[in-house]
Amino acid sequence: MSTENGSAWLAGFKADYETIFVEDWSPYLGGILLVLVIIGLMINGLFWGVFGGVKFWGDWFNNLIGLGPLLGVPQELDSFLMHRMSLMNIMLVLGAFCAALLSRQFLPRRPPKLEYIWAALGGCLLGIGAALAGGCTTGGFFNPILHASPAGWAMWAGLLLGAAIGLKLLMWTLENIEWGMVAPPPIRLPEGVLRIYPLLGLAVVVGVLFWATQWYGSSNTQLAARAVIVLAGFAIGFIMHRSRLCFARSFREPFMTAEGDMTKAVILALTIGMVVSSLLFQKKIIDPYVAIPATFWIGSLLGGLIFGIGMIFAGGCASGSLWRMGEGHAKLWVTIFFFSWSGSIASALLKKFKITSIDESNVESFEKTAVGFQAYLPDMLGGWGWTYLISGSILLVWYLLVRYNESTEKFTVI
Amino acid sequence: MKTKLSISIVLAILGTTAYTTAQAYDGDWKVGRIYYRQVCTSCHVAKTEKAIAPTSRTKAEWTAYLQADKHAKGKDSVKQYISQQYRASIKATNKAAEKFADVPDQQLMEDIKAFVIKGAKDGDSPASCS
Repeated sequence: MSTENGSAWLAGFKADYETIFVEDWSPYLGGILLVLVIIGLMINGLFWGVFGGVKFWGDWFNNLIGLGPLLGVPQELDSFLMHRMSLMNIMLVLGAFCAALLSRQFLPRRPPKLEYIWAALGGCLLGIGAALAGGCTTGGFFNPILHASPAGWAMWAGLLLGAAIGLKLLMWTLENIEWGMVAPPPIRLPEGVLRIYPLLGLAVVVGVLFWATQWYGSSNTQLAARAVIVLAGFAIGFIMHRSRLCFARSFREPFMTAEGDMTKAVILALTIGMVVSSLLFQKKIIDPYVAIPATFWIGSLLGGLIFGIGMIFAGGCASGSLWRMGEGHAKLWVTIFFFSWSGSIASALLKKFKITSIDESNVESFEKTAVGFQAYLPDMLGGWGWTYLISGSILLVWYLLVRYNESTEKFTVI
Repeated sequence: MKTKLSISIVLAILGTTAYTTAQAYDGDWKVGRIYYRQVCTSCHVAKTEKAIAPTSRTKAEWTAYLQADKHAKGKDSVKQYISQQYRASIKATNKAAEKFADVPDQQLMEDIKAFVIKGAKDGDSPASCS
């Protein structure tokens, strides 16, 4: 009897473990949790960014191979854990890795040879697009929309167009290229290794909590501030993996299969995020201009177009590639390498040729470049009323089109 | 179940937001940025061919420097170059001085302080996304 009772209570815990750590979360829940973390960052005077950290890794690489001085990359760089966005990216990968261990989904995955070519090509396009748009799907699209900037909507338009073009191009390659299409045999791990995954995942959680606590209690104010990033980056990676949250999928799927769940989850996240962050701006908790790129509208639109094509070939955007890296996808490691390298080169060259360099003679409170300016809707429209109306209307139209397409498949391009 | 959880999370966000609304920040770093670049930096470059970046000092060093108010190793004061009188003297040739000609001295000093602290070596302002 007592053994039966013992099994029963254990089964209850196992069932909860399965629900939370093994079964996929709804992307809607993922979107809401993601916004919660982003708001937490904003309250701390920070914002979520990915490309800055990815480009920083590329800067390191360019200095390592001697290309840095030619490009004008700064020679004295922070360490990987001291650069805010690099740290956030590393924690994102670690968070996804931890979630993959807890759900027993971590596995080194090797794609067919041709996929590595697409990863390199897609990664390069991601780097060029992000350098032009002043950020990736996070810093050029999601964040600016949360920060009431039309730059996010300009990149959104470019991403939509780029995703459609990218899909067409990818379909053409599938019909015309046969080389490198055979997948290598899957790697099989011993049962014993898989069995200890949850324990390893738990060890990672404890390690990260210990790390963040140590830094938070440090007398070094810089380390104390980084503790927030350690936790936020880890949480973002964990949430994105558990809910399979993916910006690339939100742009790609409606054109490919007409499935719109991920897109609707992103729309929901943007709606909640926009309203809450607008309160933070109105109450002057954070200055919106800290996360608005000076790229409205040419840089955002053109960058979005290039980035959109790139993310189709790469198999993910910046954050999506990072969390899939944590899950063990070799293709996305290649993507991120080329993304960071080309991002560093493109950023340096675009600045060198005065395309994205800041106009130092400008006396307006917003920054200007040759491809746009820091556009903030409440300042442009004289208040929040029109800002809510315009942003809300675009989100509503996006939702209506995606929902209509789910039923009719009118916008699928393959 | 999921709907209830989602509603709880949204309420938590709004609660956190309401809790923090009492905070405010001083100094407009964007105004400070314009003045620093176009008056301070342009003059330094013209006279010494060397710009002084906010990242060249820590937050504590910038605070101490501005508090000591000693410019050019004590030869004159920082406040002097922020003053309305100085702005009036260069506004014919300097767009930033012209734009902020009537801003009170102390307010402009706070704006500049906000900018250099934000961009200091150990400043915790968010890094640019690009």
